[in-house]
Amino acid sequence: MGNEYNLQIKNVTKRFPGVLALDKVDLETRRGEVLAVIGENGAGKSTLMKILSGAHLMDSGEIRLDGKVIPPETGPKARMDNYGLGIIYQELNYLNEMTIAENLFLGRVPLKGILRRVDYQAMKKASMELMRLFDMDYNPFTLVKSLSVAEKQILEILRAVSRDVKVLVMDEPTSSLNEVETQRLFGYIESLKRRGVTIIYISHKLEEVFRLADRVMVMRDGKRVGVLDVGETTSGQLVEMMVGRAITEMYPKAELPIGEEVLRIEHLSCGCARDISFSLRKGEIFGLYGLVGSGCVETVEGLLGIRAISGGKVILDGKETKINTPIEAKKQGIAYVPSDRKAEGLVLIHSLKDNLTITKLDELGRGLKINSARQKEYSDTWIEKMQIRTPSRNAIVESLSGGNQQKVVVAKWILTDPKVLIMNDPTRGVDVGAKVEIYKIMEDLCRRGISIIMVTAELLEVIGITDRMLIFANGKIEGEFQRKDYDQKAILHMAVKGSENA
Amino acid sequence: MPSRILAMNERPKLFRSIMDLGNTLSLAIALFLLATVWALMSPYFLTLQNVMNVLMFASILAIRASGLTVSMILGGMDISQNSVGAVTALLCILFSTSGAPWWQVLILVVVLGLAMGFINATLVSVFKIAAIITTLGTMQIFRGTAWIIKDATVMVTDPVLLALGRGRMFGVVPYVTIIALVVLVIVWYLLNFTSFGRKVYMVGGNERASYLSGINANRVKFIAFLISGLTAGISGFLVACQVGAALPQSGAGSEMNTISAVILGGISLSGGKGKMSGTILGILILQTINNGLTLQSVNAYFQMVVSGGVLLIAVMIDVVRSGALRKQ
Ligand SMILES: Nc1ncnc2c1ncn2[C@@H]1O[C@H](COP(=O)(O)OP(=O)(O)OP(=O)(O)O)[C@@H](O)[C@H]1O
Ligand SMILES: [Mg+2]
Repeated sequence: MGNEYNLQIKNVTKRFPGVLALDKVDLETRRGEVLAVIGENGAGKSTLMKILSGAHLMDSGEIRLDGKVIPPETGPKARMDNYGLGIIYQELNYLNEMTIAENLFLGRVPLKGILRRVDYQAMKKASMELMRLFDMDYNPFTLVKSLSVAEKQILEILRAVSRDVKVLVMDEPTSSLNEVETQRLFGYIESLKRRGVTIIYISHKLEEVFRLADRVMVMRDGKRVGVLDVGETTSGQLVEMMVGRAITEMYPKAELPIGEEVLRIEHLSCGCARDISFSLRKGEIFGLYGLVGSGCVETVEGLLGIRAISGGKVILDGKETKINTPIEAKKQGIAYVPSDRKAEGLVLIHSLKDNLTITKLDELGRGLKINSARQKEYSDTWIEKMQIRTPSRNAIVESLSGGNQQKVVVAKWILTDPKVLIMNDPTRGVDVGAKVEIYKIMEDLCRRGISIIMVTAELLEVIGITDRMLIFANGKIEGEFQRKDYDQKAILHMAVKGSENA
Repeated sequence: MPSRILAMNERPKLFRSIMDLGNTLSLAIALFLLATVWALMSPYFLTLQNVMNVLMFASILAIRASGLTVSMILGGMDISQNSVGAVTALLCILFSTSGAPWWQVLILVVVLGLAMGFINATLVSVFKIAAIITTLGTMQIFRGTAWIIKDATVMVTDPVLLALGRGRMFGVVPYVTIIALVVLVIVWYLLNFTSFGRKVYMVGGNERASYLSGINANRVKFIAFLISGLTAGISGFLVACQVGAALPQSGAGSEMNTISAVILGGISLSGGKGKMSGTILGILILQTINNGLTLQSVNAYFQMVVSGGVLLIAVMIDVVRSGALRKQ
């Protein structure tokens, strides 16, 4: 590993209306190293990377690669092709109506013959090879819209790594991946490193930083607060640098009394999930954990009426109910925080206020006029409770940082005061401090007798926050754990083994 | 942190309202400049008589466009409006000439507009056919129906109806302008101050996310197409009252006029964005251009070229301003 820097970012400043996103930031990397970049939601990490990749124009500053200055106006494609600068964006960018292969080869479809026909055979072969890296065995001509969020995220990764890159930016690549998929990614990153590729790795998961990175750069309020060698720091120190205070307890879990049964599912079948039965009690946080294709997501989507179920019963408060649409689910007091915030969670082109109160429109709109005072009140309360970083409640949601967008999705459901709250990856991309806030709010809801079903890819999170959990594999329930018996290895083992036995 | 949020909440308020006005303001300025140029070129342009003339034509278009605005914010275009208008006008005027009193005729206008809107609404929201395809089909069906009902001109005889179309309050403000104002205010209020309006914007912006948030997107679309049909019926009928006759071919071939005006007003074809003020200014600008050209005795064909050119230039300015051309 040479000691001189191959990439040098100097004095980059970027201002958006109402926010100074980057304030004279520097960043430098060496060949074959992994530089982790961490910081609170809205610290400016993604903005810096988008400037590096050419998606945003910087106000001032300079970027050099191998000593040569990259002209600021150079677009993303030219940076990829001429400089070998690749990026995996935080927000998923896929074309739903196109196939896996087409998405992987977007903008560089292999052609053949004098007529320059699309070479589908070559595309198929290359896609299958790429997918093998992550053990995905789909037909490359499957439409992307039938994939799960995690699989879409893997596609994003594959698209970037299939190019010949010198510097690869990964902006929260594992935000919806589980243990196993994350391991695969890490293995692949190691091999890229050996080939001399520089990786800039953004994540809110400190374990990953320690497992993967050589150095770590901490950002705060659009500034760089420090760069440390990973060997010489602790997660406590990093958290304090990011948040400005120490976080003593990551999972604030209180012993709360658990009440009678609220919801029961009997023999539910939906998509790949078959014959699922469980019951949920008042005031508990109940986890569903499984790898991709395990059926957790299908189960809750079936329960909520988002997907058609092929059999089974839903019993709410002792009475059998039919829930055919999310609208009915909401009326019954069941709320759902979806995991794909861009496609399912938010109306990106509208304001924070509109998005926060979208679940309250019927109540706010009673009478002839919408109650805009209440709307503002709700927004301000939740902006504060969730620490959403925004120039104003009228800011367009698209302009918020990823983690702040996620807080909006969570908040808009919590404020409906549901009986049962179902959350799918609720802390996706949320920073450490805000995660703790969300967990506290969840505890608080339980104290008030609300029951929570949590589907998450993050094992530490399910273990940290739930009272009880089911392990799914291959569309079936593999086993159940009580909080007192939680054992990370055993749980993971069960989830993985179950999916291999298929 | 909270203090910072609050401080920033208050600060950019003025700035924000100016930004919000951005599009509306530039359209208003364009209209003003246009009027100045025409006024300088023709002394007749600024006479009360001429201004009221422009308003009279603009009013009828604006009624139709207000319904179109709602459906276009939802991301669906209603191109059947002119055909709906033709059928409504024919049936209502026939009803009137058969001896029905004017108030019964007015009720029929509403019923027919809603009925044809209902057909579109059902196809779009129950059968999930894309709005533009649905209305492409019904546009032809309704137009054909108009010809089948009567392949000839039907004269308006009821003096009340004629007065409605041509008359002026206190001899100055056309009645149609007053009707238009009422309709515009209602739709504007619906869009901006009711939960229905918020839902229109949210569903238009991201239907799936709205649906998952518990918004009945189908019902919102349904109501939108009812509104679109109703406004189409009213404006088609008022055209007949103004012209003094209902024709089966009324409005055929000029379907795109309202759509142009709405787009000029700044609506986004992908849905979720758009304002009534924009639509109104869009209509006024297009009408003013045509009126001025007429006063300069420019022929109708050339007027079409100009109208189309103006639309493209306006959209081009928008594209350049948004910076979408910068990087490729
Ligand atoms: N397109 C934009 N328009 C306006 N403001 C923006 C835009 N993109 C980002 N910002 C603002 O810039 C700041 C930095 O955002 P950025 O996305 O870089 O944060 P981040 O560090 O990636 O956070 P996260 O961990 O939540 O992804 C935020 O305050 C955000 O609101
Ligand atoms: Mg980010």
